[in-house]
Amino acid sequence: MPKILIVDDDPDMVEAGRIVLEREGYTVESASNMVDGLRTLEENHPDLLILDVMMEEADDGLILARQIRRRGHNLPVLMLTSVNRVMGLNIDKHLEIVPVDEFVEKPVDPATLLEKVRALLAGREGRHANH
Amino acid sequence: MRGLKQTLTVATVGDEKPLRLAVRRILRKYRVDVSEVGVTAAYHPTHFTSGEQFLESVAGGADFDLLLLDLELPGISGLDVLTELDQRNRSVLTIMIISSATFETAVRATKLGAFDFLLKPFSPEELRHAVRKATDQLVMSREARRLTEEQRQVRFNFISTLAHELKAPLNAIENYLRILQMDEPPERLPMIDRSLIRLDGMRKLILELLDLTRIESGQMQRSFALVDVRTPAWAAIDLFAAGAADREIAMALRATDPVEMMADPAELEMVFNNLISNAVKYNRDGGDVTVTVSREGDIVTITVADTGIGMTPEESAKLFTEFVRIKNKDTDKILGTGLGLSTIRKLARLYGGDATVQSEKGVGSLFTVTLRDAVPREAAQGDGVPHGAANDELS
Repeated sequence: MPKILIVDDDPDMVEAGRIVLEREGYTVESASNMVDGLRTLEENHPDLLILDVMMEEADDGLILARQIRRRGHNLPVLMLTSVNRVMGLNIDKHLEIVPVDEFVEKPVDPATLLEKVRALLAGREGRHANH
Repeated sequence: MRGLKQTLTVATVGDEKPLRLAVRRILRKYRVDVSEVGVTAAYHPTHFTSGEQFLESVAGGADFDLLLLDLELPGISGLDVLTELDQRNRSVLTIMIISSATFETAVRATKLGAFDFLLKPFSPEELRHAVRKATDQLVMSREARRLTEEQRQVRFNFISTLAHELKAPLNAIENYLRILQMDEPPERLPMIDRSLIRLDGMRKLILELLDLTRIESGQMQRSFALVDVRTPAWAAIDLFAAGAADREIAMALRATDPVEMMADPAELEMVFNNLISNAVKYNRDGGDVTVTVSREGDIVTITVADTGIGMTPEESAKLFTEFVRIKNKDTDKILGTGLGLSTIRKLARLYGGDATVQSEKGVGSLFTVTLRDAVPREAAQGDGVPHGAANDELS
């Protein structure tokens, strides 16, 4: 079963994601900051990353996403955040600046989360072929 | 005690050479202490021989703190100069120099914003006295403005931090509730539903509070474009159509021709969403919501009328105040934050307009919002607007 990494500084966001994903049979790893997130990703090679934006710093998630791409990881990234509504911004996915596959405003209900995860994992097959 | 030095630029406009020389000589050495705010003012005098010459300099971007303006000038009069400044929105604190204190002239000059008068011929002491009074006024009002601005920034920073801190736990609670909702026995589902509804109300409150302070503090990212005001009106009507249909409320937009203005589309959306959601929320089942948009000269008028519960004059009077919600037996089942209308009024005032209500208890309410173009029509999009934080965030 695919392995999913959740990077979020809110333990309850991690836990709720874990409950929803594990009952569908996914394996879930987690990290609560940028540095641990990158390390866990490189050690465990997850199939999908669920990433928060505002952690220790307001843009940690964006920086981590860029770092991951620079280091050649091409796993799908689902960015889950409330940064736009809170900061009054209008950030969306962007090839260089916000290199993620999906950008979703929190909160997301379990059914939507699962749907997005399935779609991104299904798309991963095609991506591997291109790489 | 001497305070922080501030040099005020003083324009003297008059064609009498002795007067100009006297002003220059007196002001160069003159210092005024405004001890209340720890400022010592010095003066940098500049001279113009005619009103035309002065206005040309202002049009070219020159900025003056203080204006000594002779009423009698070779070309256009001192009153014309004041009128021009007022129309260009470039008013300067003005001391009028007059030769005879005719009542009529004084009244007209005061109406045009003149701060004080000097009767010719005046002594150095009289000039100093007038300049001292004007300096007090200028420095104190600037200080007051600075403090208000600072206070707004503090409030904005505080609230945006608070909002983020409050949103995170709400999201966590909502996630758990949604998981419980998946396998809770049916008799408990209504409680989870209510919890989710209340949670959503709390989130709206936080976001609306953020919007409100963002507007107040000028931290709002604004980008202006020529908008047909009917477009956001239609969008808002669509947004609330399903909810209105459930209660058989009919919605209509009365505006056949385009109504164009320079505005931030997102801000217009905020106005319509707010007014139309209220008009549905506080309506009776089977009622009507009628929206009109029109433009007459400079002023765009938006009205939203409902056939709802209405308000007493006392209730209407306090409606636009922050956190005010009209509480009575008609409204106790309706959720709201009490921030929407106060936000709409602040927005309307940013556009040089206002938001008002006429209402009759048990009959309905008519909300009217007036707006002027946010920038001149020819202005390019986003011109002269604080740049969005998004760019900083991502650069």
